[in-house]
Amino acid sequence: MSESAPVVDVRHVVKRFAVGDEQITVLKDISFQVFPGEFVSIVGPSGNGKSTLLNMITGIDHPSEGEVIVTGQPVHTMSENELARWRGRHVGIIFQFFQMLPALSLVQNVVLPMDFVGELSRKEKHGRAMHLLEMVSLADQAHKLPSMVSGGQQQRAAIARALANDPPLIVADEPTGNLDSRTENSVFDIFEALIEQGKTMLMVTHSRSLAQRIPRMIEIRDGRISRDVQNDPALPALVADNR
Amino acid sequence: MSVIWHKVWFDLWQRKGRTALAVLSIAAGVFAIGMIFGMVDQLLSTMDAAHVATRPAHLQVIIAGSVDEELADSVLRVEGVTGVEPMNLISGRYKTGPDEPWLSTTIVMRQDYANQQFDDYTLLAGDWPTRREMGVERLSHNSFGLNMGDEIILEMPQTNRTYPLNGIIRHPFVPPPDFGGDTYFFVSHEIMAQLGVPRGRYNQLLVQVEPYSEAYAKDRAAAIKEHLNKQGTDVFLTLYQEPETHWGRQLVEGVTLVLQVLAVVSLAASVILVINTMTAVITQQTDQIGVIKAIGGTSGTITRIYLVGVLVYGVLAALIALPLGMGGAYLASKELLNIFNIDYEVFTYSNTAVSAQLAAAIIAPLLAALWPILSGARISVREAIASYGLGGDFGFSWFDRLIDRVGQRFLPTPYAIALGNIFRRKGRLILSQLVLIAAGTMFIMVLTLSASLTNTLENELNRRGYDIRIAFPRGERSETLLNIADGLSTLDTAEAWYTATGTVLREGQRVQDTAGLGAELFAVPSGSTMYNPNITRGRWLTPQDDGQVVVVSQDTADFNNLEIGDTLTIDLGLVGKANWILIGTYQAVAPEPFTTDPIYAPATAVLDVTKQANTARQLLLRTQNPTADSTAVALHELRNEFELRNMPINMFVTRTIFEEREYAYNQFAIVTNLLLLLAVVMGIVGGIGLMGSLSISVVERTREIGVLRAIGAETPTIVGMFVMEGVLQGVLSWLIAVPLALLTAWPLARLLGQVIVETNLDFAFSYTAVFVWLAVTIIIGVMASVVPAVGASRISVRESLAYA
Repeated sequence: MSESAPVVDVRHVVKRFAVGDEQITVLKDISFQVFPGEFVSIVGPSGNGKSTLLNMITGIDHPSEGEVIVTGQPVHTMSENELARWRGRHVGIIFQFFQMLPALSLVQNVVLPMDFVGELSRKEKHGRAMHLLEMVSLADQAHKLPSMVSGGQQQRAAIARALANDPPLIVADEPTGNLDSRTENSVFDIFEALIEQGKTMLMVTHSRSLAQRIPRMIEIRDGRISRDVQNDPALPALVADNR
Repeated sequence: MSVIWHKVWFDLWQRKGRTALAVLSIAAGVFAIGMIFGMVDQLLSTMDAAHVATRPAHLQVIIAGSVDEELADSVLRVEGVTGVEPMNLISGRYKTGPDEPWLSTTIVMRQDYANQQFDDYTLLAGDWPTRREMGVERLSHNSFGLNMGDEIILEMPQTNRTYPLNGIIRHPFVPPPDFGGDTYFFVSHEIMAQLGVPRGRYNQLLVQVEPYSEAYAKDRAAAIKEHLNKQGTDVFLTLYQEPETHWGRQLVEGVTLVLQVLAVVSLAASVILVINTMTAVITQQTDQIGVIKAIGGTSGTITRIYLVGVLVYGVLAALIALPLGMGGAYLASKELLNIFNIDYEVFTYSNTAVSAQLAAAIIAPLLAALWPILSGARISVREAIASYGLGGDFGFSWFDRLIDRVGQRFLPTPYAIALGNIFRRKGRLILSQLVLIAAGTMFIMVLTLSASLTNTLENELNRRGYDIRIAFPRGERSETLLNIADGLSTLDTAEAWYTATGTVLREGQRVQDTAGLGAELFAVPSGSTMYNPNITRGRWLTPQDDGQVVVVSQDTADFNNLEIGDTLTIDLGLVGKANWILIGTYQAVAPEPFTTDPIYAPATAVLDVTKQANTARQLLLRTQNPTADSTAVALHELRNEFELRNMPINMFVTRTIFEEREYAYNQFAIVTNLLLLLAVVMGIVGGIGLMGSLSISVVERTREIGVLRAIGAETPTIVGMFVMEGVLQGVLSWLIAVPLALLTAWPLARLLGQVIVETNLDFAFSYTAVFVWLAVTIIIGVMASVVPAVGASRISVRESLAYA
């Protein structure tokens, strides 16, 4: 454990959903911390609360009970607009289905979060967006619309977008779920590079091989953390492929 | 510029169909506002300005006989009279060539054309009338093709003479030829003398009084009449004119008020469509809203993005609707002003209407779009991005379950789904139904109004037992008239009626009549079958009535609080003054603005009072198997006969029942055509609304469509579902619109009747409109659903399941 302040501090989080007349508890008293520079995978069977947990961390959803402190901010108490502004600066989100805005070119998609923060000049924003696209090997595709490039390229552009404002925390929800294994590897290589640059990363994944390459793994089963372990790439996989 | 504005532009450009629909729906309402409000503004202000420019006389005193200049000038001595200008106006006949038929005309002579004091005539081309040349009125020039240089043969007491036309002149107060107006010629003193009015004698006086008020003008009219009576001259009739307000203003205001209300309804429908369109856009882009928020965009960002989109819709709609509205307003104004003989040749637009259009195009859609946009902007990232399976928005209420059961029982499953889908989003359903119902109700109501107008006219015409009415400016012997009528081979029955104009008094006070034209007493022969008016109070005359009893118009009775049993004094000038008991009131239909208010009384009583036994001023004839042609031929024959006997005819009120019908329909056509235009606009707006609503359905159910496809639904099934949904929505709106129209049409038709034709219309619900609108809604339903349906059928399983 690091002695610096945690980037993510989840404290006794409970999340319930109303389904018809019933209340279903998806997360049951979850607590854990993630420290700067950590690369953490969240694994577990479908419908056991992985994505819901990620939504608590990004402020996309609020816990029914407990606290979520991310980059020092009490995410669970913030309004939608405060969350939007906070996410723009502090969290980069990568979605399973890429979620590129279809109306904007790849480079415009990357510029967009910088527009929201509004700290850079137009030229600086464009330069940074091109640099990020170059980093994910998409500089030559920068002016194409998302519909004109492959899924892997869209996901790499989505990574570039997530890094637009240089956030300390990257959160990815099954970022390779829709990619073939070769593309999956190239995307994962980018993630590893980001960790080397000092970013903190949380990633929900179903992929056994990917989880095996991630130093720390939190497994969620029946809404609880069933395991929170450090992976040793030299050892056999700890994670069953639940796909 | 922030890159987000690229998204706004992309959305507008890439979704051209949707953009076009939104723009057109706004443009339709804005066009209606621009055209109607622009027309009203231009029409009324131009009418009044044109009227004031003619320096209108306050009184037009029509003399029974004629006065010389000295007597005319003596009227200036009547207290309050500040100006008098004598003139002549007579009825005559003309033809355009020796072998052409004789036609009726009104011939006018001003004392000095170059120095007119009141009711200014305007020389539009050529010169004022000379000793040997005459002018033609502008409307006569336009409608009858009479041009400068044409040779006109005028019927003269001795030898007919030919005069060339040397000028085109505007007379500010002529009835339009389409409404039965005459040809007008303008002549000099010399030609008038040839026509039988000696030089220096005049049969009309144009008078101004000071200080002007309607009551004072009427009071002075009575004083002038008294003054002339003392000089042995009788006043036949006095016409009143408001100096500041055009005489047609009341009629136009009534019509335009109705049109303005309908235009606002059209705009409201357009605005509802903006709500629908923006709901569609937000629905379609919910995931994008989620992403924008996830990467740092706030609710304000989202709101601005979509409001800018709406602003662009509004600006584009304004670009389309402004010129169309201005053009439409100008053309409609020009057309209507032409009816009132006012030239309107220079393109003009109303600043007020343009401002109203801009507000309607820009502000109204922005305000309307705020609700869906703010709802969309408030949506949380989780709601926007997360997906928790299909449906979930239908099947909970008893109503949903009822619809579900009905669908499953009576329809194949895909169509049962279509039925259920209609009720999935009840808020949106209500909005799109509102537009369609408003369109349907308006459509049925407009046609019902049109049918009621027709019904009222037909009922009135059917109450008239004659096919031909011939009027004589001077009293003729009844026997002679009836003998001449007997010579007509197709004659069924003829009656000779005496009429006399006069003033009605009650307790010494002058009774107001609806037209302000004085009253005309009609002596109805005992047992007459020529007219059986619509009695509203009391009763009509019976063959047993021989006392001094009268039936007056309902409006006259209302104006003056007259009750059945009241005693009225009718002053017929030189021919007598007597008391009459009111026994009934009748409903006057479409009172013609240029005629007096008829008062009916038994012939025996009238002739007793006037001592005008065996005298008639009108001949009413019923012919066998009347047609437009046969009555025209019969009238022509009779006119020739009267001409041979030197019996002049007042062509202004001489016409066949078919001509009366045509002129009346021409008057109503302006109103009904404008109403129909608005109904069509509403139909278009309704269709656009339904298309928008169905497009949203496609977007919302993309995944559902994928599932249906995955389990074997083929393209025709998918298309059929959406077409079925469109048609069902159309039919549903029709089912609601019909009873709504039935409930609202009667009071509205009554109101519109009062406003437009100052009559309680004989209500006739248009069942044709009901079935035409059903067909229209089905066509709208199919057309509006085809595009979204085909779009839905093209969605692949992979695309649809990856959606959201």
